[in-house]
Amino acid sequence: MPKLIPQNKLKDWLDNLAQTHEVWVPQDQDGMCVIDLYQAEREINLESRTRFSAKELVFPQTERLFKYKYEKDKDNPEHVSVKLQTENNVPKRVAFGIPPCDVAGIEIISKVFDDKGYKDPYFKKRREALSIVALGCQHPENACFCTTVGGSPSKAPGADILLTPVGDGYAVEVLTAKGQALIPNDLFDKLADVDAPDVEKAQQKAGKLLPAPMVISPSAQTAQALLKAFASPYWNEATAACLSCGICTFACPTCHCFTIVDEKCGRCGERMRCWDACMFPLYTLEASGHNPRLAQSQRYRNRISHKYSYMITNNNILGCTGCGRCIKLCPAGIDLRRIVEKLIPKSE
Amino acid sequence: MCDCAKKHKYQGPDDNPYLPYLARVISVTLETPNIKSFQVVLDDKEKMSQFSFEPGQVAQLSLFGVGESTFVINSAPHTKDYLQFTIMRAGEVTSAFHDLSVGAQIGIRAPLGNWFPCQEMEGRNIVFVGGGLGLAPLRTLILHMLAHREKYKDIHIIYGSRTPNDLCYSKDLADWQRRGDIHVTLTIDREVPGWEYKVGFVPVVVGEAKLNPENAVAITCGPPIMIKFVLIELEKAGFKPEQIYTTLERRMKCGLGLCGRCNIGPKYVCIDGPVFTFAQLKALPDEL
Repeated sequence: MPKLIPQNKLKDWLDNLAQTHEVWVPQDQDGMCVIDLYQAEREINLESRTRFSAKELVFPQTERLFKYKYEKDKDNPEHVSVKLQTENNVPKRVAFGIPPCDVAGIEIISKVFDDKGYKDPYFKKRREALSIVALGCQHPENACFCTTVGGSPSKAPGADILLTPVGDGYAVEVLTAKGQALIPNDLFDKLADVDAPDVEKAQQKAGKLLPAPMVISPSAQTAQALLKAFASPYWNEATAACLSCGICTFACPTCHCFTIVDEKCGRCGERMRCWDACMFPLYTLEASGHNPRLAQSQRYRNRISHKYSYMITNNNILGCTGCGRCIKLCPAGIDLRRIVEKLIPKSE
Repeated sequence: MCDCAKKHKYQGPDDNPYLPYLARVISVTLETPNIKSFQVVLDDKEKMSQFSFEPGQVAQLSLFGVGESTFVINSAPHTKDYLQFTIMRAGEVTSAFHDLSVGAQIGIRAPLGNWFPCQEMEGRNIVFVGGGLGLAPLRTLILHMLAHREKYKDIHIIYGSRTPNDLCYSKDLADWQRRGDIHVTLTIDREVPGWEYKVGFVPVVVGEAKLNPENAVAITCGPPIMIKFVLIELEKAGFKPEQIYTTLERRMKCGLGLCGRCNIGPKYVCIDGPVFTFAQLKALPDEL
């Protein structure tokens, strides 16, 4: 039976976790709710939606791939050799209180970086070192549409522990062995149990707050719909306002495009990988001057088609969690739901 | 199914496909005023002797502190003592490569991508159509076929560039012209005193060649505008889209199908390509 942890005991649990893990938890900073390192003296905020997703915990915005260093040979100073060095250690982390849509985002990136084909060793290490304590969503926002794309505000497959707000506390459901390891017995033994039906009732509440689902499934039919719409003039109309700012990709829990750049300092330096955005014209610009996606409508079409068509074809999943951040943050007010609704027929 | 795909996939040191192997430049050849060929040898002698790839596969070459770019391996697969790359000075990385001298150390992640299905081409007539630096990916396949000449029927190489000075691999071209068992047609865009071969754009020369599509395969690579019109001429001659191969270029970073930028619809040029038939390209969204 799940335990019920009252609000005022959460800090005890977090302090306990922080002894062995880097604990990342939503908190207010400069007027925004962000996910950041837990510090006992700072207030946490489990009520608001974080501005950006939790993907940075497994796929940091900038990450070193390796360091390099040029050295002269001792015996033959004219002979210079380069040495490469990688790091193997990544911190053990807990993502605490992240919403189901962000857990889904991490699951989706896993499908790309660590399933078939080439595997990304940097992502893999960080994912293995990450434990997830998800928090069922209590206040879906206007832009939320997780149910449309097959998600749920209150279930979080891929998480190790699921918290559900019940009364003045949280029901704690342990989902995996990794999650069990995050439970300090001396704290939890003293907690009261909560009835499973009560948890279920609380979980159903959030779903009712979401718009009636327009279900889009990761089917071949969905994938085909966007391929068919590839030459549609609607793309121009729908994306005319787009500024190519790229905020939709940075805030997105599933966007995983990156660039690789060298940073040099004298005879040494490092090769970094950094988030990139398919919204930027330079993203596909070739040295010859040719650019296969020169027009903004072509870039936007690629972003939507990647999530709602290409990822179905390549990974059998939809590349969208319905978190709504791209809609909420778009300075031009572009609403992905309108485009998807127009171009993809309802499957059920 | 053979296990080629596994054999010709880049693993990387410590199973990290982002980590390059180190290599040194052993020779630099000036092909044209802005194109140089580099022969490189892996530092690890054992790795070098075991290195295997198929014609058409590419490499990510890096200069540490400058960056990485994608180039096709254009030496023959049976050449075991070096790998050759031909680089046109265009951007930051290629310019830095042009400044390298013999002995310089580089990083190399290879082989990456798919390749020309040369086994399927056995027993068939082969037409190569190249323009400028587009001969680079064809060169590997040509050298491979010449080394196994008896397995292929007629081989016809049509190659052109703007001026005689822009023709790459002049030594190879002379060798191929001397051979009696293949047909080589060279062309330049405009007449130049002393030029004794054809004059005219490559597609026009392809049209004039009266190619026979029966039991034939055409492989073309060059500037996109040349490919576009070569394709029209080949189709006019009766070649079907599945008989025509090309190899594509795209801006790439990872070469592993992960970083996202080189896609044409759902296909990534770095892992699903760079070699495609025109039948395959026709099935993809028009995003070249």
